[in-house]
Amino acid sequence: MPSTYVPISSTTLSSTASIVTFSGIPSTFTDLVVKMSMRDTAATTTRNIQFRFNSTTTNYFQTELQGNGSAPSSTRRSGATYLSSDNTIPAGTSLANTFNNAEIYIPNYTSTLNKSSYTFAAGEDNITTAYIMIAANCWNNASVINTVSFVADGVHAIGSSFYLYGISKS
Amino acid sequence: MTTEILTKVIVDCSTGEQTIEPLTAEEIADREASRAKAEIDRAAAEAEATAKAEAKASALAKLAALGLTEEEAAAIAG
Repeated sequence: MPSTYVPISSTTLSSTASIVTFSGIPSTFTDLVVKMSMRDTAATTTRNIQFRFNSTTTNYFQTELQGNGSAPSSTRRSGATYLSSDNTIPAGTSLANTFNNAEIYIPNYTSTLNKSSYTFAAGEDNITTAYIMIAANCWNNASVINTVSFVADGVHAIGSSFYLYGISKS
Repeated sequence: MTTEILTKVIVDCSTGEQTIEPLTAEEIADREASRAKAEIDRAAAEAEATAKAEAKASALAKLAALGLTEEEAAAIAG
């Protein structure tokens, strides 16, 4: 990990929560990285999560490539209300105590131009179909990002963790 | 029977303070709408992937009927 990674804040859930939000993000870095380990309580095998900036629900664009051990697929979202990590989060009927790994990298988050980013997420356990995805993201908005939210499709399980880092010029 | 109270965890990076609050009615409505949309997207993606897989299997079967080996057919299908 580059020496310029600076931990800004983190949380590990001691009780379930539908939304986890980092607010008041300082504008003193060049890039942001959020690393996550998540599980959902919904009574299904896998679940999605929705990423949002500044609590805004408009103008998200995303091109996603997904694999599940059989047929690969690609999804395009235009003008969506969120960015997705799709089915990469183990849920209630997945192997107990398994969590996914995910990262969202947000360069130039203080820019007054549209905000591009990428998402990588993978959730593996011993069920028949587990998912990995990578996505190119854009939030068409000129605002400085000061809030990042993670909205669970079901509910974030206890033990899910979220780490926010700032990266200075490297 | 109790009703589950949906909550949100807010981490204020400027103070380090973490708070837990119940979702607002607006957030609950938005969450339900987003979940419904995500489910539609997921079903559509799965249907598309299934259709592609079935088309590929059909094509491979037809190539095999023409006399191609499994390896030859797979080389064409990619």
